[in-house]
Amino acid sequence: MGQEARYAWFPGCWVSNRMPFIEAADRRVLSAFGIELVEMKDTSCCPEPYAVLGLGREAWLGLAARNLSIAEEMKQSLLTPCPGCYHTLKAAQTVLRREPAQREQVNKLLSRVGRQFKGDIEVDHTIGVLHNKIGFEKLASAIKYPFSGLKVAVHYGCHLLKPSTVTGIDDPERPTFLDRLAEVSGAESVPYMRKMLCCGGPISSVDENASYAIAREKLLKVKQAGADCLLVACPACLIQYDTNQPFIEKTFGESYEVPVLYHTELLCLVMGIRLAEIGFRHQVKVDKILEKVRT
Amino acid sequence: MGAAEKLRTLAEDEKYRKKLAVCYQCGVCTGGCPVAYVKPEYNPRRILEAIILGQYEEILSSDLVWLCTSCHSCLERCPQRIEVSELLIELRNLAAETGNIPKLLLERAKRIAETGQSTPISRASTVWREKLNLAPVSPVNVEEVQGILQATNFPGWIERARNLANGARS
Repeated sequence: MGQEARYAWFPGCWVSNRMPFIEAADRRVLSAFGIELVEMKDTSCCPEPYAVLGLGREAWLGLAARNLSIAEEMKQSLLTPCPGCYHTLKAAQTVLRREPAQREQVNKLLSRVGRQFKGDIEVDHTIGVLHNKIGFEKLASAIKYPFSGLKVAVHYGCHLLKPSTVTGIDDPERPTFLDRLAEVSGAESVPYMRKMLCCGGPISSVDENASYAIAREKLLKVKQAGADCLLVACPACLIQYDTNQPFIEKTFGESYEVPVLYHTELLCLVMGIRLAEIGFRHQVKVDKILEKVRT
Repeated sequence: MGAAEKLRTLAEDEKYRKKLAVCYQCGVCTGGCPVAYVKPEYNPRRILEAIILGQYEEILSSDLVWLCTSCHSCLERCPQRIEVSELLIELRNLAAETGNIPKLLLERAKRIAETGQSTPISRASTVWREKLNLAPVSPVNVEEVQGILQATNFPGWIERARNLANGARS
């Protein structure tokens, strides 16, 4: 593991206020590997790339730079569990480091509130820390109760991978980190069609039917492949596939019954941390998964 | 300068013109697009074609620019390295300037401008976090957030789109 084991923690609006059970799982896993998370104060929405970046790029860049400047003041690199926040903060940081004119413009905005963007900290995602800093060997050594006979369909989502010039966590078209994570947990990562499909979540407030139709395509393929569950690494993908699954079923008059697990929830299960301890609250029942934890 | 004029300037800008001029309409952007798969009216190749043909007003008044999920598959796969999904963000910014913003997105943007968060801290979320032994979320410094937003076009565009929507209703 690298030198850094302390981070300014940026859970983002959804994880903090809408699905804190994800934060509980992340914290349990990260602390088991000696990663210390320091609370950030006064942060805002990252800001999210649809309503803010879609309406005004300057506003998006200004608020992102403000959040980054808070971590800079703490002299800590920033860690977030949300690929949306990761994408926003990393993309903003990339452009502000590269383009002096934009940096000057943003610093003019920030000076109105007594802040400054320096660009001297790094932005990382939980996946980056688990896979690159902690590493699979150490992850494997922490697994006490591996799965037996569990078939997992892994879903990478988009913003950890693309645009690859910004995010750079893994290969944008043929990533492996979630497949390897599933395997380390004792599960089998099953091949399935449409593995790299977007969840469709971002457009749910613009065209709900199209958004659900995209998610339906994935859920059908996961079911066809005979997977016991879908593994995700993004709170927005979790909402789309789990929270919205009953609505998608209703919209199309179909039944999928595909349980969904978030990557650190999967790790909690095999590390011996019970779901009740992390306040697990999903729509689709996960009994099928629990039966396959070797105890 | 109106939004359509800005788009003309953008499309004729050396940086963009060169990029757009190399589009040979192969449709890889559309072939890998999750939205085009379920909704054929949404077709990134056709949006590029429309810009090349100078149909600026049509693009900016259309709902289609708001249908991109920003999955960035098109950007990764374009053989000519046109950053299609980034171009779509520019189109949405210009559409927003004309007041073309979907209603629910407008509400979310307004919420972020008012509270600094897309899902604000609530009594329920505070209690839930307590139960999970998670530290309370530090309140957002809304004054600072608004201090930044007010120096951009953001609040003005929200206001303008809301007025247009109200006008359309009455």
